[in-house]
Amino acid sequence: MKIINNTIYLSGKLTKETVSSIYDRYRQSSEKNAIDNIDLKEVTKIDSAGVAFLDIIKNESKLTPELQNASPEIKETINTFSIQKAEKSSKKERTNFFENLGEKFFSSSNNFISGLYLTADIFYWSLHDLFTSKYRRKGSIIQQSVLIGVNAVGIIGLLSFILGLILALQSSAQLRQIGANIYIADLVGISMVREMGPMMTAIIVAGRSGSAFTSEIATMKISEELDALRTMSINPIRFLVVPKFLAMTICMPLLVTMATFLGIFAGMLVAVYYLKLSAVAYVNEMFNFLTLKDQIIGLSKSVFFAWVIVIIGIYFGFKVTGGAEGFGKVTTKSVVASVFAVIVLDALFSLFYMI
Amino acid sequence: MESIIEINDLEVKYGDFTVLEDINLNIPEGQITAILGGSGCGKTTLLKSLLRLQPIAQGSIRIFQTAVDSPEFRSQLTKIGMVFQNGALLNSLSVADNISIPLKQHTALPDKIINQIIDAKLKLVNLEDTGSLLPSELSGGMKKRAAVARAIALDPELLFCDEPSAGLDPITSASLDNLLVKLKQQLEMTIVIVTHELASVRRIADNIVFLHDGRILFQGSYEQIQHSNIDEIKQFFSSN
Repeated sequence: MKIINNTIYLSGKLTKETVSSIYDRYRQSSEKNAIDNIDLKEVTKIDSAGVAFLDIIKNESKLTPELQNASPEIKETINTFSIQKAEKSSKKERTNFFENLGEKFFSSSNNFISGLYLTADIFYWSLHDLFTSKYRRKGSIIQQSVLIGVNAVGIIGLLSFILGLILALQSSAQLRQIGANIYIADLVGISMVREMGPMMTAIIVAGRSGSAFTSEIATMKISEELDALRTMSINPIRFLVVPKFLAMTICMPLLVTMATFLGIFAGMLVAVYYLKLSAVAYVNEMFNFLTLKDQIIGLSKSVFFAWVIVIIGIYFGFKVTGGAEGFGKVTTKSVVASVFAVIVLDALFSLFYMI
Repeated sequence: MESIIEINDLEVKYGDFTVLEDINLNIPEGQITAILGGSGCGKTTLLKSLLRLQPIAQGSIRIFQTAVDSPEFRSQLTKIGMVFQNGALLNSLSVADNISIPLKQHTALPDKIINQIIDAKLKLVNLEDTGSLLPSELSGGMKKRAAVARAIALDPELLFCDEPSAGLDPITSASLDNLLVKLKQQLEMTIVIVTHELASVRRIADNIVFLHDGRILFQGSYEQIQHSNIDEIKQFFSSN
């Protein structure tokens, strides 16, 4: 390759094996922006990499280089693989900060509205189909209850026990200093019943079942199974979502009750073996302190958490786009959103009951 | 004319079931060879055997004078492109990234030239402005064309296409046929296609191999096969 008087002379093979070195020499040339002619007289072979190189020479030159002396075969290959400058400039226009902000706002409000529609749909069909199993698979609520509830008993039980243990151990050291050992029962009891039991259970369920709902629905959407249901005139919400919603509504309070009990039991072990309290004193103090209202608050929260987890899981499942990558994205988003929603909801409940 | 693919006494089995038997075939260089035959006759299996995607029970296959089961064949794969029946694009990568895979893996070309090649190959298959899309955002026909663009990214000497025009509308199918002819003429590419589409075969094939029940019944030109007296071939042509 040589450049003389604004003409680039190319020779030999212009193929993927040779183009790299020719391109390097071209880039280092100071005259590359002023090329007026491309002489191909001595070019014996060209492939798409060679044509791409010629296109780059044309694009980078401030002038309009002409191809010269190309053989008919070379010309034909160039015609096949060459792309014009104008065709490449289909890049998206840059948007400014306010346009981006506006776009984000409208897309968020659209997402929120579609989320509300989905929520309404789920509540409507769940209530509608509460006492009829005509529109869902036989045994689907029991199957979902096993997946959501029974299969989660081990992990939720273990974590709640450990949580109760940590809570009791951390507070007992402080209570001991002021001789208020007996209040360990009040502290562990109120924490587990009103906050830790429902919230920890909800977080674990969001991670387990919420992500499973999203991935199930997303897979079905990608593989066009949801469309197939619709073509058979089956409402996917009634067929797939209602059993999950009802099973979750049943299982969550039960899981929370178990988690609360195990947390309190762990606290009792610390009270008996570390603070040397009697088990009876621990239980009596707890029953004297806890009220029915505390129980209702804990359990009612758990039902709301259950609904939020189902709705968010299903929502992201329906929102999936793309292939494996989109699938991973919605599952991650679903878990993050569920956990976030559970914590925010818990804070709102705390605020509400304080007032 | 030299043979680019030489197949001798090939036999392929799925368990105890023999799919291909007694296959002796030489595929000439620089031509388009169409492998025809009814469903289940072993066309795709033959194509997969050629690329070592399907183990062979007996016989030998040599491509570019190299046995496909020899370690040296690996280096020859850069000279071969394959268009799978369903496209087989990597779903997590954009169309442009899919096409860039062979270019980045097997050449030292600068990114600028690679991007230019990608744009050119997409234009060639009429898929301009789809480089940033994911395969799941393409229609079936677009996926197939993107797969063609990926297969020809390295301007291979040998291109295999498994049912390239199946499921495409007649206009797209004809433009894909034209592209294959162009590739043959301009890059001296040897092309082997497996197909059912007689219209496409008539337009582009120089050489036809007819398979039936895992055996070769006929090898020759389109004119010759049309006048064949073999019952299975007559039946195939009359029902198409």
